[in-house]
Amino acid sequence: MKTINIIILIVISIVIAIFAGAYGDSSTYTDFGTARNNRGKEYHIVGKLVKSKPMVYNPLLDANRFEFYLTDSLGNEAKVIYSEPKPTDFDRSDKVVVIGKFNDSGDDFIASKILLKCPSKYEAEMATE
Amino acid sequence: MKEVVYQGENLFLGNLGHFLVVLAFCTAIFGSIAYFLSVSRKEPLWRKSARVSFWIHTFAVTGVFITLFTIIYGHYFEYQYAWQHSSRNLPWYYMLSCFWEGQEGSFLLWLFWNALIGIVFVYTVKKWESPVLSIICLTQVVLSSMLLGIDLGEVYTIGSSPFNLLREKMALQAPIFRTPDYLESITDGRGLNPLLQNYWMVIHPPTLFLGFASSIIPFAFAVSGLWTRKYKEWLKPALPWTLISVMVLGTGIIMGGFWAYESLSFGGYWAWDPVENASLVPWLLLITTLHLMLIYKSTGTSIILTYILSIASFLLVLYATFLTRSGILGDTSVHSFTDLGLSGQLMMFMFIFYALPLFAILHKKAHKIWMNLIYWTFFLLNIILGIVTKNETAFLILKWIDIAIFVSITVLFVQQLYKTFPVSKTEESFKSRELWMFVGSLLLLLSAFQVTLVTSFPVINKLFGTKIAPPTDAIAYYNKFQLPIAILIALLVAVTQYFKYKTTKTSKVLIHILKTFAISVVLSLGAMFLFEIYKPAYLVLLISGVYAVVANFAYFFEVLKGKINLAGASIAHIGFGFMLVGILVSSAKKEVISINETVDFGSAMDDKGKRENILLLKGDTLRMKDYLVTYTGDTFIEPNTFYKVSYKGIGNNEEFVLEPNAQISNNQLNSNPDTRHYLTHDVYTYVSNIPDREKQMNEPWEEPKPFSVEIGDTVKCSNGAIVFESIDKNARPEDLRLNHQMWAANLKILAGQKTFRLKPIFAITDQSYYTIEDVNNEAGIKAQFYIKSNGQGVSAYLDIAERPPVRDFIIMKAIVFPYINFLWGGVILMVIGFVISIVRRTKDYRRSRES
Repeated sequence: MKTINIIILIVISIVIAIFAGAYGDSSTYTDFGTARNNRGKEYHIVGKLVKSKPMVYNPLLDANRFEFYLTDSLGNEAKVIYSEPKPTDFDRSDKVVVIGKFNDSGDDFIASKILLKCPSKYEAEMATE
Repeated sequence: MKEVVYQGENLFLGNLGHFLVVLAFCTAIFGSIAYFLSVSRKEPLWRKSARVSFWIHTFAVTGVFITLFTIIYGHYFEYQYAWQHSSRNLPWYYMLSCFWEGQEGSFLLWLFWNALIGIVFVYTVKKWESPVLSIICLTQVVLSSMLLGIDLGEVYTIGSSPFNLLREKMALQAPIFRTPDYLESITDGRGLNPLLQNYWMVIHPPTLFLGFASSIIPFAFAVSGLWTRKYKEWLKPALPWTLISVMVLGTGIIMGGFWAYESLSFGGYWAWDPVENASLVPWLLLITTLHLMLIYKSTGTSIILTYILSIASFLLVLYATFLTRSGILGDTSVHSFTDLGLSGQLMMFMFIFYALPLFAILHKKAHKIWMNLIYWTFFLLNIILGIVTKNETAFLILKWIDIAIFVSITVLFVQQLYKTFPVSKTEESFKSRELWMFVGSLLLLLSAFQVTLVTSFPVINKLFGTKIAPPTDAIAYYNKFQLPIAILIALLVAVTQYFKYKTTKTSKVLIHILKTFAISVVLSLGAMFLFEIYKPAYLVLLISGVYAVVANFAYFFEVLKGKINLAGASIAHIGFGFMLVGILVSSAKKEVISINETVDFGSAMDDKGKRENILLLKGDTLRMKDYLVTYTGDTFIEPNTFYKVSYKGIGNNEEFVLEPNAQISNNQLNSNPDTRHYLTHDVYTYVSNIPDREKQMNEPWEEPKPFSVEIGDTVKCSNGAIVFESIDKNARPEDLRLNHQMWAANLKILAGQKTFRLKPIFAITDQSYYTIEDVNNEAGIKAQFYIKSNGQGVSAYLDIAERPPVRDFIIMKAIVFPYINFLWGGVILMVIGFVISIVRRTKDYRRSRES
């Protein structure tokens, strides 16, 4: 039974490594404050679009730069810069998850990915009817 | 309140559908009980009546299926399902996609496949019919309960019926649904999500759900084996079915990947999205089950793990169903279903099946009774507390109790397994096939475990109140772990077959292994230069992938002597090797070519700024890597806009036009890529944004600036240079029948490479004068021309107003995927290998049944 014991040991240590790896590489849902204080690290931030502030997308100048303002769950506001074209369903989304980190100065949140939570077609329709 | 009589509704179909769902539910319950009883009681009557019941059940399910399809096909928009998921302009095959766009339809699909599998089993598995079908019937009970739509007073609705009337759902929001002739105002449905209007969406869901449905087979057989104490006999009938399950589910997953690649714009076939992961994990477990079953069948070892995995595969399908349909993935996935209020029922689904194996394995009757009593008491407690009282503290306590129950059931079951199957004392030989297959199985399990863990973050957050988010760069994260596993598995796939079960003569094996390895290294070196892959980790994966192909190829010819009917495993493994190579090369060497290198954007963005999208003005040609690319214009073919992009190879005669298209609704772009396929690479292109025409035209003009000019002058402004070429003294436009003297300025605008002309007019009447301005939106310039006298005489003036130019352009992304055909080719080989194995194992089973 020696072989099987060795195998079991190896498997257990890999499982531990997976746990550690998953925890180490995982991100956290947080707010702009925490993200600003930890500038190197990437976070998930769930927020709402600030509709009163300008959304800037000027493709003729730069097709890969989109800026907007977002408030997190605590009410903190930050400017978000996204180096991709503006998602076309962006205007209709109410909840936005931005994934990224603050730049060195701590002024702008640089998003590497954006997840949009649109009210589904169906709900939108019901709200307007 | 007066009862309203609604006009024009076809209520018959809905009532029929409802009735058939209830019939299916009841016959499944009866079938399950009758089959259950027929296991212990030898009276043939139980089995006979169960069979009849199951036949009725199958007809009922088929009937529900046909009824719902009729509702969609006949455009009966009084039914919410038809209204929400379909519209009149859809061809019939997309109406099938409408059918499974909704949750109810996909549950129905699952029910339907299960029923068919059950019917086949009734006539093929002989003595296993009663226990196996009893379990299949039980899944049918739960699945059909999802479609019941029966209200329990105000508090809870069991299931979500696809036969709900639109007006019942909408009556609260919209008063129109309370008028008798409301149907006349509903002329069309909301239509099918444009992303799903694709032929892959017609066949991908049925295939995937057949895969999910068939995962009940190893579960049902393993549980039946424990239950009837025929611990090993179930392997022969279960083996071909497990092969089918692995093949179908795998095909379904890869079809989804191909659909994503061909018609979604995320740029690839796999994104490690939680919903994709949720289908991958059951497949990984099923393929592990398959290998363990082979070990168990041939050597009688690794029994315990075989049982655990046969059972876990199906439980993971249930878990995947819960993840994708309860809405819990909301924050982490782009394409999960929203909650239909079924999450409680989905949890019950897991709850019911989780304990079955334990009840089956328990020997003592008293134990069985007690366990059942405790378990179902808690089950009821959960239902009551979950539905009736929506008390927070109750939930909190219940949560911990439930976790404790789940843990103790797992521990008890494993302990019982060890009791039933004492671990043998013999040392497994390093020279045996089973040892290496076992190691491979463990590796597959670890791979599945990692994917499950990270995909379950939302569940962990819900259970323990944590706030863990998935890794920000999912692909890098998964690769880090899955890459070494893939390398090891590929090596095992290459080597293991040369060993025989139990023990092997080493010398011959070693020669085979070393010879094929040497060939693989040489081939890989060649491939390294061809694919330009030099990163050590990738190189190792490349060698092991090639090794898997070469070794299995050699095995097929040298050991099996080219006997195709025995070569199922070899061919599937060759396919696996090709898949690995294809995945490696197409993702490691995938290159985004839509990068504008002519403009320097400076370092405005940080290192994440990848600038992977390029803006193409209509008519302009830009260089993208090895191509000159021109956007030549768009055509509208209902409901899509096709954007013509012509590619011209630099330094060769290559020339082609891609037409990525998009469906535009409310300014929202649903983009579909277009791909040029070559044997060695694909050029993939999609439109990521288009100009917002309305916004552009509503852009305000800046305050006009006056310029005093003479003929030949050039006025420089931000949108271009304006040359005042001449004055046309006879410039009256033809359609203007005024007898006024009109002078026009001939203006030439030089904007970049483009030239525009403007001709603003200055007109003199008897008493006064006026101007007629000229606008060019594309240049973003508006000009007014007038002549005024000053001290010395007269001079000409231009009033120039500007705004951002209105331009026709597309923003697009283009990616080259090299050697992706290895992946698709590998998949096809794998399927062929599976078919050969299925044929062989079915013959095996038939032979054993006859002897």
